Amino acid sequence: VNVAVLPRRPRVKLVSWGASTDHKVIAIRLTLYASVFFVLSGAMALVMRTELARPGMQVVSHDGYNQLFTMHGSGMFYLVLTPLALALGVYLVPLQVGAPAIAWPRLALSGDVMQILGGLAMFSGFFTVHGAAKDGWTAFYPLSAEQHSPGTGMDLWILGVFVVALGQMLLAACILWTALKLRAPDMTLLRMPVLSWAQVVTTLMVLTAFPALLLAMALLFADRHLGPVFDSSGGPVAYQQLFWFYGHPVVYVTFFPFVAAALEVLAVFGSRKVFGYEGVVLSLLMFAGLSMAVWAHHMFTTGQVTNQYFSLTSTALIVPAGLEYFALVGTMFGARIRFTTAYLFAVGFVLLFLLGGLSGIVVASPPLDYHVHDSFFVVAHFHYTLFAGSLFAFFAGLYYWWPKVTGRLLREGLGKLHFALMFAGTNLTFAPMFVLGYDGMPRRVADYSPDAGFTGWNEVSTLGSYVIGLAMLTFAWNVWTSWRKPVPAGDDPWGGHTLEWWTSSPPPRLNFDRPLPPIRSFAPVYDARRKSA
Amino acid sequence: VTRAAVPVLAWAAFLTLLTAVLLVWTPGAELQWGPLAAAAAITWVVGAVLLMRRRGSPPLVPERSYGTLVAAIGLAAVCGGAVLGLWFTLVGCGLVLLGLAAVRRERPH
Repeated sequence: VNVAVLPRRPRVKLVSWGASTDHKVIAIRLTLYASVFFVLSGAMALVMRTELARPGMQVVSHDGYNQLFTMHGSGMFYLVLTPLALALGVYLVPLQVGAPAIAWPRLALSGDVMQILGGLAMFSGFFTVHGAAKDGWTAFYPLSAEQHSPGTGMDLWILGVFVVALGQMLLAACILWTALKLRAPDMTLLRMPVLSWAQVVTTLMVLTAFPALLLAMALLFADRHLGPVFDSSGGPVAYQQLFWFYGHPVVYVTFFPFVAAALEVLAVFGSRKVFGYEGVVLSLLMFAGLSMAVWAHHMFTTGQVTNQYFSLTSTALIVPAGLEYFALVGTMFGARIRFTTAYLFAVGFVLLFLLGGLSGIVVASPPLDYHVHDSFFVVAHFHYTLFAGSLFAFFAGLYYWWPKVTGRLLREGLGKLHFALMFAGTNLTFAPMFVLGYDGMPRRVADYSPDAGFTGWNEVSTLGSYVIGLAMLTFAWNVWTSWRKPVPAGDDPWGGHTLEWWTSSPPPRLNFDRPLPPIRSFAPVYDARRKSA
Repeated sequence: VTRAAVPVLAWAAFLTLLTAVLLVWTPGAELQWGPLAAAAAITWVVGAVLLMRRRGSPPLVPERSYGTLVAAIGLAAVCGGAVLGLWFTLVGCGLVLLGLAAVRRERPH
């Protein structure tokens, strides 16, 4: 009897994989969850842009639009950018400081589980009677009060944000302790790589700013179900104080790790060390400290905050930001550059984040902010910092560390196409918003008058968003190709500088399969390579 | 005393300075300087803990911790009870206890 015997396919042991305490697996899980939520939140952005291309309501209802912009913003902040920033730390900090594992791995595993559960809770609001939350990612009071936003969808949103933020605090504690207490013997503080330093300040911000969000969510929930909390003359502003005390630092939480990633990419592909290392460390600490004291610039127009103080601290951010830009440009200056995809994304970050930063000067100044507040100008500003800034730097890091994580190379040709489409799409989408906002188009509206003169720029912006969608499909195709037809990367395909390149790709369970090299600077592998050469 | 606490304490001092300036500027606005003061206080505490603990190796834990997985799901369920009802909180409490019991029995390989 002829019997065809099929080879047994290895089963993916999902529960076993989900219970892993290996920091590398935890980081990969965080990245996968963030990717799923990125696709969902990105798809919502495309629907919104389609709706805004023309005056009138063509695609969704007003209520549907409110749900879309709320869940788009919430998804991107709470479930995509913050987890990605922490995932970088969870994966790389133990490797970069020469530790065999992350501190408190069980705590890190708990934080990871909370990301997916909190995210599912937030998005499950779409399946409730009143739909998902519709008050923006800020959930300003009294819009978010029970009488204005009834239904379980809003409650699930509050629950999801609470659980996600709690998990992020657990992850931050693990990263901070690893960087400061589990370093290899010769890894002094001023020999820690820039990315690890960025994670130190990022996690400090998470641990000190995120409790305000937990408190805001708990009080908002209590207000909706137990009795008025914010329902007084100063109540709504009190909610905003609590929210923005989290809401502004989180912008930097989703920035520092990525700027550090870009800096490392510029150094490695420029074949030189990071320029002005000590200055970068100092600027990170100063930047993080100042950014904890600028939150009320989001509330200039309330008339309830000390505009002078918060304008001063907001403008003072130029000093550390300037130091970081000096380091970025200095690292590129005189370098022997290899124009890889990672390098292109890092340069794209430097250029585009500059636009985001410069437009920040406008909103840091109360008289100018009064004109553009709650307009599309603000939407353009924060998309230039967070999308054009953080996401470009994230992709720089992704193309750079992908071989370390997977042991495979992504295709450079597809990568460069991805970059070109992203660069064009980003500018087409967000640059017109500066004009629209300055001319008075308010944000968070689904419709506008055909006589307002907004149609042309909105069409350009919508076209740009489709180009970004195409760029993401190119990236997905690149990942698929790398998965189906792997090209082995080797342990150190780029000539990396830091300790994660001193081990196999992907690294073994306890990170290092050979003794560490002498650690005499923040780039020990670079030093070892030069010495052997 | 270890140097690991130095950046954290420096950061705490910076936050305290920023709080002090805000306090002098608007002494009556507790809602403005309060959160910043709380953040400075948290940072001082983290710095103090770091100051007292030595550098070391990570503790040995099993490669997979099903107990932690169950406990974390339970903790999320406890929070979820606020929306879904007391029964969900009770289920969550049960899962937390079950998970913690499993964690106690776990041994590193």
